Amino acid sequence: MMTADQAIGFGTDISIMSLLALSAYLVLLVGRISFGQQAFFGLGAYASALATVVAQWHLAPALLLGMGVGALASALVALPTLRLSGLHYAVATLAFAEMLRIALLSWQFTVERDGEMIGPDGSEGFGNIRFLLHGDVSPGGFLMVCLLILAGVLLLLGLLRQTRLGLALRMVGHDEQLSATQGLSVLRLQVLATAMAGALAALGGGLYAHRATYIEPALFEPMLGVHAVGYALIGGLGVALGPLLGVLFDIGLLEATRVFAGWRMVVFGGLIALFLRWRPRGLLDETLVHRLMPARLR
Amino acid sequence: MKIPSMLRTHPLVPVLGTLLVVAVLMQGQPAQGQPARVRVDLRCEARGLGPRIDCLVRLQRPDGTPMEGAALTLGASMPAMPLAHSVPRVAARASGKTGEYAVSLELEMSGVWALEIDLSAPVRERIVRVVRAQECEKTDPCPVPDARRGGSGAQAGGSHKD
Repeated sequence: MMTADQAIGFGTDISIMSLLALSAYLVLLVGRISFGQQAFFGLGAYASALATVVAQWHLAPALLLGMGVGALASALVALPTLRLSGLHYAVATLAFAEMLRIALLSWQFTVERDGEMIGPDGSEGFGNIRFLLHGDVSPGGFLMVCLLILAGVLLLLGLLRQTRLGLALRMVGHDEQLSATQGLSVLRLQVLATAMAGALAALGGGLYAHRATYIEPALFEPMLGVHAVGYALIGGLGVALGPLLGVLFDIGLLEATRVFAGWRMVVFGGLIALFLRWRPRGLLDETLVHRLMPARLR
Repeated sequence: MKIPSMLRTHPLVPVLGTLLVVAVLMQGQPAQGQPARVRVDLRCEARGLGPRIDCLVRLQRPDGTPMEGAALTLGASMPAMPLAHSVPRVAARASGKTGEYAVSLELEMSGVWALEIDLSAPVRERIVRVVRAQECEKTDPCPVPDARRGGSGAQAGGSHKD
């Protein structure tokens, strides 16, 4: 039986991972696949942690800074690489993420505070991210913040879906050439989507860093990005709730209940393979969403 | 078609944004100087093929006196798979020695694990130690060394060694 503390922990993990899954979803929405979202998650974690620990900022501007860094980095990576074909773009994002992770392994930026050295210390990691402890924010309170942020992001994505921009993004995702012939600036729309995705991943990273109090480059290995894509592919690309479904299934069911114990990764991988074969756009795909959603919200 | 022309701002968006910022701003305050820390010494041994790790956590107040009556839990997660590969927290029990607490965790596999000690009373504290836990087929328990220089990259929370 799960204790209240464990439930709060899983709830927080699910909220944070959902932000990363939504970032992978945004890239998939414009017809590309990124195996490098963990890089922006990591950038957001380091940037916001530096802001609260070294510059002693408040959490809110620190998270906003992280989002800005994530969005900017994502756009800068996307500008040259989105000109590549789909497969090459996926490999380029993975390569960027690995370059960043390896760079973080040797990046040191420590300062002295009250007799202690704090800040990123290469492979030793970055500890003492103690904003929540200093501010006496309870785990339940932080869960509420994470849930509120996630709800806000979902609402914004839901609103985006109903705008002409949302429609244009989906159109680009379905057929780039056709979109271009209709006068849409395909590259610009894709860069915009990947920048938003970078900001979302960085927001998740910032929340994670403050929850964990300790981060290190090993946290941002490719498996994290692969999982994010996996969640979006399992949950579905028809609506922003899809990736959440994937996260809930993996972390909320498989991880929390340990129903498959050590076989969990095998089950998760097998499930992705099955979905790619029989339901390539996930459980909540466009067809199902179209059938279920009231006409005015489509 | 230009991107800005596609955006029609919904009246709910600024309201929601303001609410979000206010909600986050209400949580905590920036650190103004580090308060004196709890001193923590963590020693673990691995047994069996899980492996199971048996840990002893020694707590001292900033003035060096043992900390009695503390409430703490120990959890673990793999740094290489954050959020998705973790071990549920287990409450530590007093070992019998003053200021010392014992706790066992069943890890899912050998490898590098971040051990998270969460202290909820008499003070709130979190200490993260990164260790390398290997399966242990010997009769005697196997050591669980730190995986990071100087005790842990995770001096988060002020871990001190004797």
